[in-house]
Formats: sequence, structure tokens, C-alpha cells
Amino acid sequence: MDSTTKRMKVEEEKDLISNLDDQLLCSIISYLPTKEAIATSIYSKRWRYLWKSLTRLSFHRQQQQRSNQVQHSTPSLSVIDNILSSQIGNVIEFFHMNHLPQDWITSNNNNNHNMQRWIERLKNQKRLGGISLSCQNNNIIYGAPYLFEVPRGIFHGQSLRFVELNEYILTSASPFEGCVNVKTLKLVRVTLTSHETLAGIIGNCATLENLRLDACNIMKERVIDVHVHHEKLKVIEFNDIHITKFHLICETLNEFVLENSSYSSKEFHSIHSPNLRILRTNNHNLLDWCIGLRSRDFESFKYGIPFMEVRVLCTTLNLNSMSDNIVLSFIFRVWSHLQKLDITNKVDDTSTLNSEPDLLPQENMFWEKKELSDSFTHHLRFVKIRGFTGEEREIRLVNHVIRNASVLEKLVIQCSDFVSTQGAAATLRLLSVPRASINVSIVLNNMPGN
Amino acid sequence: MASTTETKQKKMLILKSADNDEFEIEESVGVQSETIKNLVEDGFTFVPLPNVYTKALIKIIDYLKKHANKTDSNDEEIKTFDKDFVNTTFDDLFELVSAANYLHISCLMNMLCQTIADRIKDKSPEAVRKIFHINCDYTPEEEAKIRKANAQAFEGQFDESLD
Repeated sequence: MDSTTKRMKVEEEKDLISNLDDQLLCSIISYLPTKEAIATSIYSKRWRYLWKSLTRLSFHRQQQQRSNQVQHSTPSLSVIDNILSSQIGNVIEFFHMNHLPQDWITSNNNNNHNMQRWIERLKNQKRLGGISLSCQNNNIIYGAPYLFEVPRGIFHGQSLRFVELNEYILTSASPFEGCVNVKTLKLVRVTLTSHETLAGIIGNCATLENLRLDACNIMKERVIDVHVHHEKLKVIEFNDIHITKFHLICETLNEFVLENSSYSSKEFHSIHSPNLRILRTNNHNLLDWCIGLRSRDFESFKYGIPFMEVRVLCTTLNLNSMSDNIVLSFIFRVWSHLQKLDITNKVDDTSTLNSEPDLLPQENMFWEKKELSDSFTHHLRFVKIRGFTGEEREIRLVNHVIRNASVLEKLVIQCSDFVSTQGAAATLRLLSVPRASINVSIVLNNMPGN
Repeated sequence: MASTTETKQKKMLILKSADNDEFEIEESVGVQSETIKNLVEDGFTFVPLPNVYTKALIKIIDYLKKHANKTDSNDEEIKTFDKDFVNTTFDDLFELVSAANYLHISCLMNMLCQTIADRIKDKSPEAVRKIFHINCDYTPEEEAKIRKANAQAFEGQFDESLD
């Protein structure tokens, strides 16, 4: 990039954008913070009024600071009101606002609070498809949060499909009342006042397809009972969430993601998502529980094996530990429709060096003695292992895959940056292992010396 | 999904670029473009695209092919593809955005607009004028007037770099 721009000779170049029509330029500047989009009026006469046809608004309000620091991104209330009440407000499709807690509390003479006034104004035009609100410094971690009431039904809109809230505290599910059109809901660092609030919100969004929770918690608790009983959800993604009880009844669910989260193995869970195809998780408790390693509580499995039809599994395992090899053997056996397996090999130094240095006698023929599961004979097409170190247990596993996965199409081995010379040599030798599948291509990435 | 499309006879389309190159693609790939879809629905199998040059069309066909083959397991691959796709010069980005606009491929449009906006974000008006080769036709008085009309928009610090 650097070199190309430097090579440009300003006087000889044509106006790069003169070929683009105004509507297109306007689409581009709609993706700028609104303040900057307005500032484009200074470029030239052609740009003078382009910003008046913005389709997206993005405001960033900041707390007034007493020092002499620059206040460059603090639009005052009147600026926002002016823009929203002009004809610009009529065509807005997406509204993003980084606001202050008091914007939900203060008002301008009439009864509606600022945020409510703005959102209602945009919703009335029936074009607003997405809304993303971020409340600054309102996380409970930062000390006393502002407790404000988000109005009932505020996120119900004829065309509103996307709602994202950041650092909100929700005392009830009522803001989502009647949200029958919302397809995607994202809650980030949101604190809920009770476990029922979450279930209530999900219940209110009857046609929701995508649900994502990042670092959400229950006030004073840290942990969440997740209770999802839904008929439309397709994707659920939880990051940095601490689940105690998990109740998931959703026949339409296609993908479930649980990353960097904790999952209690003591509590009762019930999962009924028979059509789930994709599972991504680095949570061992969930994995162990699903494949029946942790809890032998048959009451939990009243719906059968959780995620029985899973096709794609992305997970983190320590392939140098005996226990994780056992986990993997259960995965192959239980999830017999598995087509794609993506493993990030997490070598835990302490366990490899101290507790499980060498192969145990009973590990001889560990894989060879296993009965081949359906996944090996009929389904497994793609295997990727990241962070491969070429240690004995890893080699044995891959050997087993190459020798037995008869419909395998691709095997990708991405070596760790710390692979030893010996490990690399052992990895290379995998290329000459007899292959069960005639069509397989084996790719070795990040080999040392390459 | 793959097996059902393989057993059926694949319907093909021919796209003709502004510089008269012809490209044959599968109908299922082409109809991700609303413009092409409308023509196909009217029975066309030969689609002239007088506003799209070969260079952009090749890249866009690549994009459409990649996104047509979306399956449960390749979204990571598609993300990497998209990232590489927009990692190009402003010239190419403008060429692509006008082609995507003409072809009505909304996901590509959004991605390209976002990319261009991100690249000019925080830049001073002077820097953007240089990057875009915009000739400022305001008089100093007019410019001062505009700055005054939306004073808040021009406050703060800007990035003067041209990359």
C-alpha cells in the first residue's frame, strides 16, 4: 500500500472517484462515524451535500472532561436531534450509538428520554433495520452502574432485524416485548438482574435466528442458567460465559459455539438439538458431558446423545495426553456422522513433561484395538490439526486416521512453531503411511526449514 | 448439497464484460447478483455487462464462486478469502465497488464500502483529497463557511498519512 500511494503522481492521476455516482459515494461514507461523514462536505462542491443522504448513522458521545483534552467526538444533543429530525432521519437503515447512561434518563422538555426519542423517530420511518447501542462505563465491574429503565417494547420495529447491546443492565425482558422481527441479537457485557430475564428476552424474540452472548452475567452472581426453548434459532454463540445449568431445546439449531467459557459439570443439563451440524468449543466439560464421559446420569440423556447429528467439530485438545486421546476416541464413536474435525493441539507443558512423559504399556495398540466407527468408514472427509508437534501420541493418532478413514479428502497438519527436528522428521514420515482413501491429499504446513 | 447439484444438469450462463471478454459460469453462481438473477428469470443465458470491465469481472466471479459454495465447514476459508479480496489498492476497490453496485451483490457492496470507509477513517480532508485526487473547488471563504456550519464535525485531530 505504502509504495503504491507514494508512486502516485498527484497531478497526473485522474480523479479516482469521479466515475462513481453520488449514491455510491454516499454508501461509502455511510460507513464512517457520522461526524466524519459530515466532514466530507469540505472536500469539494460535489461532496457538499452528500452526507445528507446517509443510510447509516454512528454517533460516539463522550463524557465531558474537565481538563483541556480535545472533545472531538462528542456530538451535543442538539446536533443529534438536528440530524435526526431533518430528512436524513427518513432513510436511515442502521443506527449505531455509543452513548452515556444519562441519555436514557434525561429528556428535552417533553416526556420522552433522549434515547427513546431518537430510536422512536428512526423506527417510525420503517426503514431502520439494525440498531447497535453501547452504554459507556456502565459495566458493573467499573463500580456503581447507572440503573435506567429501557422502555417496554423499544426494540420492536417493523423492519428491525438486528439488535446489539453493549454494557447494558437489563432489569427485565420488557424492552424486547413484541420483538417478532428481530433475527439477530447480540448482548455484549450485559448484566441481567435475574436468570429469568435471559429466558424472557429469548422468548420475546420469537423469530430470532442468531443469538450471541459475550461476557454476560447475572448481577451479583457471575454465572448464568441458560434456558433456551425456541423454535427458530439457527446459531447460538456464547463467549466468556459461565454456565451453571444449561437447558437447550431447539430443533432448528444448526450451530453452537461455546468458547472461553466455563460449564459446570455438576448440574443437570438437558440438550435437545437433534439437527445441530456445527459445534465449536474449547470447553472440555461440555465435550465430556456430551459424549457421556463425565456424567453417567441417564436422566440427562433423556433426549438421547446431545448433538447426535453433528458434522463439524472444532475443538482444542492436548493430543499428547492419554486422557484427551480417550476423549477423541469417544468423539469418533459417539458422533458417528462427523465429516470435519478441526483440532487445535494445545500442548500443556506441565502434563507432557511431568505426568505423562512416555507411552504407557496399555497404550500400545490404543487406536488399533478400537473398533472402526461409522465416521471413519463413511463420513470423515476433512481433518485439520493445528499446533502439531510430531510427538508419539500425535503421530499414532494421525497414522490411525490415514490408515482407516476411507473417505478422507483432505488432511491438513499445521506444525507448531516449536516442533523439534525429531518431531518434524516423524511428521514427514506420515506421508508414506498407506492410505485408506485413494483421494486424500495430505498437506503439511509450517514445516521447519520451509 | 453438492451431490444434488452434481446429478442435475448444470445450467450455464455467459457473462460478457465491457471489453468484450466472455465468461461461462454456473447459473447458481451468477444469481447471487440481483441484476443477473432478474435477467435469468426473464430467460436470458447470455448476459452483457457494459459497465463491468474484465479485470473487475474476473475478481467478482471468483468471489461469487467462493460464496456460492458455502457449506457448514468452510466459513473460515471464506473469511480468509474475503480478507485477501479487499486487500488491494484504492483503484481496484473503486472499480470493484462500482461493479458490485451495478450487479447488485449486496454482501459484497457492504464489505467494499466498509473497507473503503475504514481506510479513510480519521484522515484529514487534505489527506483524503490527495488519496482520492479530489480537486477542491471551494474558495477559502466558502470553505470557512462550511466549516462553520458544521463546526463540531471538524474538531479534533486527524491522521495526515496517505496510506
